[in-house]
Amino acid sequence: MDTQQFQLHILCYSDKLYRMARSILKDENRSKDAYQDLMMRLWEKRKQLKAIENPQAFMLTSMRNLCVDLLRKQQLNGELPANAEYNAPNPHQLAEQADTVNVISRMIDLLPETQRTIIRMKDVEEMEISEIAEVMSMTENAVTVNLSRARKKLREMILIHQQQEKMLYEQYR
Amino acid sequence: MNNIDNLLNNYFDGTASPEEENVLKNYFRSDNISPQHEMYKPMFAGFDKEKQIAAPAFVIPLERDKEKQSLSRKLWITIASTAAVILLVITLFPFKNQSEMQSDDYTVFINGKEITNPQKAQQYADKMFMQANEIIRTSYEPFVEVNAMQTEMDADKIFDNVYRKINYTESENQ
Repeated sequence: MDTQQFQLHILCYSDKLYRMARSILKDENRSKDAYQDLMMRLWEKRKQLKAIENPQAFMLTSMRNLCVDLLRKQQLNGELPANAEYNAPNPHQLAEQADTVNVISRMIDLLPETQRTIIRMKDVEEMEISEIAEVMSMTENAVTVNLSRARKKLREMILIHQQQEKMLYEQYR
Repeated sequence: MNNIDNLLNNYFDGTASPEEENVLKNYFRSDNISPQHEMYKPMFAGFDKEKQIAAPAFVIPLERDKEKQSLSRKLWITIASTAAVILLVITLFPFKNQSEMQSDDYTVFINGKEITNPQKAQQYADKMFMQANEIIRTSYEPFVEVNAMQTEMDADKIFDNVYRKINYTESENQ
């Protein structure tokens, strides 16, 4: 596999891979490092890449393994995982997060790793359940269950958020 | 609207088909969302927005430069090794080289004949050596024979033998 083929067959998944890193690591700089790390590894093993049947699933699995490893090391080092619980924002934060769309991303980030990775593969990347199952090494049924849980939790958080917003709005009116 | 509610139920159960999900997505991207569905709008908008996040550029390491480098290195190694071999040959076989260079003005006189071919001269010399060797060997042979005769003709030995024979005949006579 030469430079051109690498560009054509591997780099076309760049955005998906990077977004997955961001979803798991929840840190822009770490995600960038992890992404560069993976691409370097893929580049070094480019000769073996031709033989892979489903390159997208293979690369997403590799990205996930790499990031989950990083997360584990992070937790072993005693670093706190970013926001463990959802707290409704105060008025100041609300002003900051005027863009409610950004709030959704933060809400998804609060889900457990498996759930947030699955919901993003399904709803952001629009991948099929069978392919997600391959990446996650799960049965399709398990993927559906996790997806349903993730979406319902997200709905709950949106409801809480909107109630808080309404309350605050009435308070400060 | 009822249809959207059903689709939303399927969506949250994770059982909506890709086509049904597409219908939902398009509905929430549109401008005519009914008020009871308004709360889900940011969710679908959030998915769309996340999809716009792009990866940082990955600079592919220069493959061709590496090849060029290795090629020039190979060339350099070839030149160096050839030079080393030539140097070795020159230092190991200097005399052969010199004799070959001097072969043009090589002259030897054999029996008054002028010979310029060193190989012929060598052959002649070898032949002469063989002859000389034969002469020495054959001329030395008589000396060896004389020496053997001398040891046989030892006076003491002959006298001793004669003395024993005399004694023997005398004892027989008695």
